[in-house]
Amino acid sequence: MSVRLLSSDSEDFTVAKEVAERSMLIKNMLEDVGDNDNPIPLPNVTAKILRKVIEWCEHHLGDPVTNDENERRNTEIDEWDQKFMEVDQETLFDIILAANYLDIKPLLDVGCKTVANMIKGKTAEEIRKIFNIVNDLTPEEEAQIRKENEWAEDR
Amino acid sequence: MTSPSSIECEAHISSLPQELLESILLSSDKQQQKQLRCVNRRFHDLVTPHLFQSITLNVEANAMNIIPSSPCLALLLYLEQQQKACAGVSVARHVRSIKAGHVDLSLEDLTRFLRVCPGVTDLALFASFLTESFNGRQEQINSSSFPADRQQAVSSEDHLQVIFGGCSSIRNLQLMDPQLCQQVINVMHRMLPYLSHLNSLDLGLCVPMPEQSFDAELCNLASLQSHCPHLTSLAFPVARAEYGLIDTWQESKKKGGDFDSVIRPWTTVTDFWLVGHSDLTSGAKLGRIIAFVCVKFPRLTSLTLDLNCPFALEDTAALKQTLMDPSLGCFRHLETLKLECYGSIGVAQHVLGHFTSIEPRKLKSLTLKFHVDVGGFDFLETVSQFPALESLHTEGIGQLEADLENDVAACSLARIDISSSWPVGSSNTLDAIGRLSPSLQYLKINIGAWGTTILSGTDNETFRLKDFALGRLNLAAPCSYTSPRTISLAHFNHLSRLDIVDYGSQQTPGLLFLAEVSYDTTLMTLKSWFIEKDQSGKTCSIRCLGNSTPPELDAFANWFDPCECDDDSVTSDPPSFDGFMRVIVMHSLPEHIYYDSLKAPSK
Repeated sequence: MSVRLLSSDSEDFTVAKEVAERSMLIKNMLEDVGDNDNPIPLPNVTAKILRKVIEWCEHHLGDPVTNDENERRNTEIDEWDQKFMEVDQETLFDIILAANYLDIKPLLDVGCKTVANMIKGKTAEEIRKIFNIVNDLTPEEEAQIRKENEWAEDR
Repeated sequence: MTSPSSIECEAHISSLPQELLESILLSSDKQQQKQLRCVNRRFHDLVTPHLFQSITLNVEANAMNIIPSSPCLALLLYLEQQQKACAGVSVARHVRSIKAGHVDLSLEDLTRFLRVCPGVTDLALFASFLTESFNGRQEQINSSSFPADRQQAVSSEDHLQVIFGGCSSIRNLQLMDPQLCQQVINVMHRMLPYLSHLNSLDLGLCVPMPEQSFDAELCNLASLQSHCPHLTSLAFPVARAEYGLIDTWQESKKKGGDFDSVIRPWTTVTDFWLVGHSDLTSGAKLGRIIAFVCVKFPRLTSLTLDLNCPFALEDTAALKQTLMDPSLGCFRHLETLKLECYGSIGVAQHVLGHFTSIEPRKLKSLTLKFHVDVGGFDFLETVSQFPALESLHTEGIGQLEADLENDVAACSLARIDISSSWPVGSSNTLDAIGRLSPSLQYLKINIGAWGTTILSGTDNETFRLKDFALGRLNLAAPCSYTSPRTISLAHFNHLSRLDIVDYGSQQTPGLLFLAEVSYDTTLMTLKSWFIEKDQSGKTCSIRCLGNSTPPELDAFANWFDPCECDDDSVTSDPPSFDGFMRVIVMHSLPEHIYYDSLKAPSK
């Protein structure tokens, strides 16, 4: 059985129901409206991003769902997902936003971990450069923050 | 100046809502969080509550350069200055948990910390902290001479009263080191009247209770119950004088007397940890103390028993005579049981099985920790004693047995973690565990420890499968190789996830194979992965063979193929593979494979 999804830029996607149901949002909507041929509108997701999300859902079809936050968070990103996430920053953040909107927790975890890995081992200045973040802290404030950081636990 | 493209990128990370930035934050380690905190004001505000949620007042954890001899005092002074200047922006307002073990701090210092950190709900005190506080900083405490300075002890007690009585926000109190001296224990018990606001109390004491001391009347559960009636979680030893009441209670109940006045039930406590008990010298005593616990805490859902005194298996007979009728009291709500035993774990199991055997059977999770390889843990006995068990976790060295001479009903176990167990002997165990657990979906196992229990000469399916796999590898491997660690899981046919733990210090890459073989020994599927280790021997990556892996290893992906063994070129001048090899052979493959906590990719 298949389901039709309508992206924000009006592109129509037909996907297997079990693929679409990786999204808790879509799953709940399908349960509410029952079987019909009308496309499900997804006003927050463009066709470009929806295509990526569907690709991910198809690859991970049948993955067990774990509700253990720690287990999900501590699992390394597998190789396929690493390659899947080799995209520009704009697409990466759009995938994260789409995963959040569509309620696909495992994809959201992969996206967040990918960003965390981008930050790994970087200084504050390097992080600013990677994400083009403007430093709005005064030098005095920054010095105080660094001083306080010395007291924070390392683990 | 910011370029247009950079504005676009900045907008994107800035466009993530707070909860998504927090998810990213939680995927980062503390070092990274510290860097993020310096990035800009938004990240500073986001990271600060996480970073300062918990502080440990300990030299090693907070070594710093401001005042090398006393960094914790420097922190205290800083927080107090911040509070005076502008309490609303102080990091202290985010602190929820304090662990105090620093010997340079006094109880007065701790009181000041709690004053500037008003949101603290969890307080953990290391024994050394209290010991030093009560005995002066340079002197080693000695129970015979304590208090060396009575004046100081009294002063310290005053501070404790301020800490406990004055900080009603504290909900969870823990003493983190069991090596407390008797006098400090007495003092802690005198603090009980100030602890009525606690939800959780962990007096993790492994020393005898002060039954003969002047504080004897305070050091029991009845006293604790009257002072801290709202506790839901408790770690506490039970004195002999108290658990001995079970005999009077039993008599009273049989005669229809007021048995609740003998042992007053404590119904708020749902999680109880019976900490180490030096008085448990026999299985019979264990029986009485468990009976007491089950009457005292009728609403327990979680019970941890730390039985650090050995007793012999022969005590089972005497034990049976002392166990009361379970209909008088039993663990009706118990769902989680952790049992740590230095002696015969079988006796402890027997006692607990006795009290959980009445319907409804709710025990779903059992953790067993062995410390010796005698007196064994019988898997079969366990699953028959706890028929609703869904999760079993074992640790330590122990003789895990399961001898299936007779037909037995299958159990309902869905998860088994035996990765920290080192079995002794018994080549049938793995075979039997698989046969007894047809519903198993999750298995975590140490390939080295358990692979060696599948011994030659054993007439079972597990060995037959392992023997077949090794034979095929020997015939068809494309090159010479080091002896593989192999594990056969012949009866684990419905797993959705298999976690392989592989202790070892190899730094060279290795190969992992997962072979699916039908019952008539026809290969169905062979999956192959290439594993890389870092310098410490930790697995750092795992990928499918043929996916950017050394091409000379590609032929290994087909070693199970019967065609390969007829190929003369394979054996004419075989190269060698020096890395490690791991082989798992099964009749039905699980969907998900993990090797040293890394997910093995499927494609």
